[in-house]
Amino acid sequence: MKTVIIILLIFLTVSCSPDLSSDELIINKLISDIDREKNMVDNGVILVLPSHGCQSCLDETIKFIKNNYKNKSLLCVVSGISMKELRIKFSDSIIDNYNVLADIEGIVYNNKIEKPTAFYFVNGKLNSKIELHSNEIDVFFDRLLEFIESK
Amino acid sequence: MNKQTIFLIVLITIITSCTNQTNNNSDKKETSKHNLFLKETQDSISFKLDKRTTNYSACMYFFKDSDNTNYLAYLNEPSREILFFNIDSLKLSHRVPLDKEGTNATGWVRGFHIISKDSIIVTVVRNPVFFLINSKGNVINKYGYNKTADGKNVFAFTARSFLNSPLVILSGKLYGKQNIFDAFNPDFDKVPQSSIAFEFDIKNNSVKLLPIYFPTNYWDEGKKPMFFSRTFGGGSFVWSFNYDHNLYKYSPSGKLLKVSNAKSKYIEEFVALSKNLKGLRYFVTTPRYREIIYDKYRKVYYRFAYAGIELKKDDKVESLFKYPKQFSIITLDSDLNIIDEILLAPNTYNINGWFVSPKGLYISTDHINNPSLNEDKLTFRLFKLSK
Repeated sequence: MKTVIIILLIFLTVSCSPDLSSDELIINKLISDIDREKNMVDNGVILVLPSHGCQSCLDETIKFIKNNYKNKSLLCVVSGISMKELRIKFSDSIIDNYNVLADIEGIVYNNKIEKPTAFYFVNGKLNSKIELHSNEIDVFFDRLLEFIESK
Repeated sequence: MNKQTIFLIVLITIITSCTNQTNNNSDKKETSKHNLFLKETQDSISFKLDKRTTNYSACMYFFKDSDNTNYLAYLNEPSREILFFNIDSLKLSHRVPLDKEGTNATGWVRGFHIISKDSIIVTVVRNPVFFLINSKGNVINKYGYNKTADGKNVFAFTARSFLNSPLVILSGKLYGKQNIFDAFNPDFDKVPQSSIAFEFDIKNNSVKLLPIYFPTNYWDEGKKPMFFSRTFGGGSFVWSFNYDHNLYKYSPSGKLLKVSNAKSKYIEEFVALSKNLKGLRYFVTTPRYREIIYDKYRKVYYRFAYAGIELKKDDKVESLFKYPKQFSIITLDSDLNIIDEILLAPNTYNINGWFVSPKGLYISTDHINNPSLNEDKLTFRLFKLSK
C-alpha cells in the first residue's frame, strides 16, 4: 500500500509540474526573487547585467541601459555589491526607476547568470534567451533595440 | 687512463652540469637570512569619501612628491577621476578629471603611472596608447604602441594595482605587459609564441615585444585561466603566474635570470577549469596566486595567495569573488627566497586594496563582510616588517 501511495505521489508530482525549460525556471525564479510583476515584461525583455566578466560586454550593456532604461518593454536587472557603487555607476535617476532593479543580494549570480543576458518574452512566454558574447556585441544590441522599440 | 677513471670523469661532468642547471631549478629552496617578518600593526589610516567615490578601486599607488608630501593616488572609475589623497593630512588633496569625450578624451581609463603631480601617464582599455596628462586632465601627449616594426599587434596594457602590473620607465623606455588574448580559452598552440611583455621607446616612438612567455608546463595539469602579475625591483622584473608556484626573474631585455619556488603553504594543488566548475564559482572555490609586489623601501617582495573556499548554500558568490574571504602574504627577500608567510584574518581585508609606502605595506580593511566597513571611508591597516 505504502509503495502504491509513493508511486501515486511521484506520478502526481511529475504530472503537475509545469513543462518548463531550465531557462524558464531560472527566469521565473529570478522574477520571483527580484519581486516584480511578471506582466511587466509579457511582451518585452528582461536584460540582466552581472557585475563581472568581459569588460567590453559590460561597458556596452551599461551604455545600452543608460540610453533605454525608460522603455516600458525593458526590465533591467543590474548586479552589484553595494547601492552606492550602483548609484555611482548608473546615477540615482536610473537606479530609482521602476524598470531598473538593483541586485545587491547576489540574486543574479545565485541564478547562475554570469554574462549579460536578454530574456525575450512574447505573449507572456519566454521566447528566447540570448547571452552576450564579445564577438557579437552589435548584433546583440541591434536585435534588442529593434525588439523593444517595436512593442 | 683505465675504464674506471674515464667513467668517474664522465660521472663527475654529468653531476656538475646538472648542478649548474639546478640554479634555475624551481624545486631548489634556499633559506633567507632575513630576520624581519611582516606583521599586522594597530596603525590604520582613513580617508573620507564623498557620494561619488567608491571604496573599491583596481588602481591605487603611493606617490611621494618633490616637496616630500606623501599621496595615495586612487582611480575612481565610476566618476572618471584620479584622486590624490594626502597621506600626511588624511585629506583629499585634489582630483584629476579623465575626460571620455572632447579634446582631452582619453577613453576608458583603467590604470595610471604617476611621474609627478603634474605629469601622469594613463592607460586605457582596448586602445594601445599611453596618454600623458597634467593635473587638470589635459592631454599633453599621446604615444601609440599598437604595432611592432615587423608588423606584430600589441594589445592595450593597463597599469594597475589589481593583479599588480605597474608601468615601468627605464632610460626613456616604457615597459608594459601583454595579456593572452581570451585568457579563459586561448588558442593554446599559439601561447608558447605569444610574448607577454613589451618595451616602448619614447625617443624612437617604436615598440618591440620581449622574449617573455607563459611557462610551457602551465597547462600540464589541465586548463587554467592565463592571468599573471609582474613587478619591478632591483633592476629586474619578477613575474608571478596565477597558477604556478614559481616566480620568474627577468632582465629588462627579457633574459631569464632566475626561477624560484615561492609556494604558499596554503596552496597544494591547482584546479583546472571544467564544464561544471567555471566562472565566478571557479575563482571563489579554487586556489591561485594573485599580486606580486616589490617593496623598494625594504627590498622585499610580497606575493598574495588565495587558497579558495568551499561555497555554502547561502554564500553570495559575487561578493566572495570581489572580496575573497581570506588570503595570505608570502614575504620574499631580494633573491626571491621565502622569509615568511602570514595568513590574514578572514572577512577583514580587501585583497584588491593595498599600497607600499615608506612606513610599510598598507592593506584595505574595506572588506564587504568586515563589521566595521563604512562605505564612505577608505581605510587601510599598516603591516610592517619587524623582528
